[in-house]
Amino acid sequence: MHVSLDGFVQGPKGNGDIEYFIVDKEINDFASKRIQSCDAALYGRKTWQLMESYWPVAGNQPNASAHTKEHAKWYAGIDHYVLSRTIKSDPSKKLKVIGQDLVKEINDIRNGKGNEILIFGSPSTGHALQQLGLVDGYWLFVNPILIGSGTPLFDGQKATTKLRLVESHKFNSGVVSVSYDRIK
Amino acid sequence: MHVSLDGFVGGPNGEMDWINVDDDLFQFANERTKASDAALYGRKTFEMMDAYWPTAADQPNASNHDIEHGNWYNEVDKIVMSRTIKSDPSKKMKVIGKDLVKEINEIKNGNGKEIVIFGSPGAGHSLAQLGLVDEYWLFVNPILIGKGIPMFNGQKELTKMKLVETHVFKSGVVCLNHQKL
Repeated sequence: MHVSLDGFVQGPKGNGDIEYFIVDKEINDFASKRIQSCDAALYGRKTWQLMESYWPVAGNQPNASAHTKEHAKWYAGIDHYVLSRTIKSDPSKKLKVIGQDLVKEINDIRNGKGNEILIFGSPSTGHALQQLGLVDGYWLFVNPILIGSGTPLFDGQKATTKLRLVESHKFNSGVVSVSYDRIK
Repeated sequence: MHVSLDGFVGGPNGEMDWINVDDDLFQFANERTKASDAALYGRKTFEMMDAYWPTAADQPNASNHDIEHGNWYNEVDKIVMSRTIKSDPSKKMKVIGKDLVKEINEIKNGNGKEIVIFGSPGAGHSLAQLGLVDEYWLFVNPILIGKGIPMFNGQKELTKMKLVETHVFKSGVVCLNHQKL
């Protein structure tokens, strides 16, 4: 998740106001490696629709970069879980819609044979899962900027949650990646 | 400034019991603090500091950190934002707050090296809102506390920063140093 130093994942203009974040080749390469270990992605409906309008065809474009091809291949191979009350599951897209009973549904996925589920963007989905105590780890790209207002990364987290720092990495752009596991 | 991963510098009642401070961190902070020759506090933090540090180095059981920081404290100029207390030259203490922008800029343009703000979230917010904070030193603690006193508050303008330094402590605390561009 890309986040400003003051804790926002999106600016005041709302949906997709993310021009503040630095995503360059160094970060893409780093993230790609990490993403390969995940075999499921979880999104809110809005982020899913954004992803779905791009990634299924992105790898086939004549000018597709190596990163685009790699990520598109990964995208096509994984399961996609989407939190929504309006859209329907679609096995042909490996898309499964959840949201009737989040705790049970997420735990079923966790207890399955998959290795890791990654949430992409989707701040309100992140908030809902945090409130239910369903987030086991955080992987943040802290950007060297103060946005001042917008959508906060953390919201509605009620209990104190202890974390363990797993890794930190400094990029040339001034972005710092930190990853944490929740201590249970 | 010690801050939780979710951006709080204190709990709802100012609790700071979640903050990780060990010898490793004290030593790092001491080195850094020595580069500053003035400290800025809000009134509450100043009163807390002034109740402890002036005599901390003289205590029979004083730790190295007590001695180093105690000596530093006694030497530096202490600038306090308050409308209720008065300057006291015998303590090298100067009260400001009538015209913050002017007062802070005068200090910045003086012959001092650097002013460091300790704690004092209220003072920090006022200065950030006035665009008077040039640099942040954050010690990001591996914890989410959910609610409390936010580190950043009321900052209106988009502010681009430059990452200067990072340091990872054994405790899982990550220090981030940013300067305003």
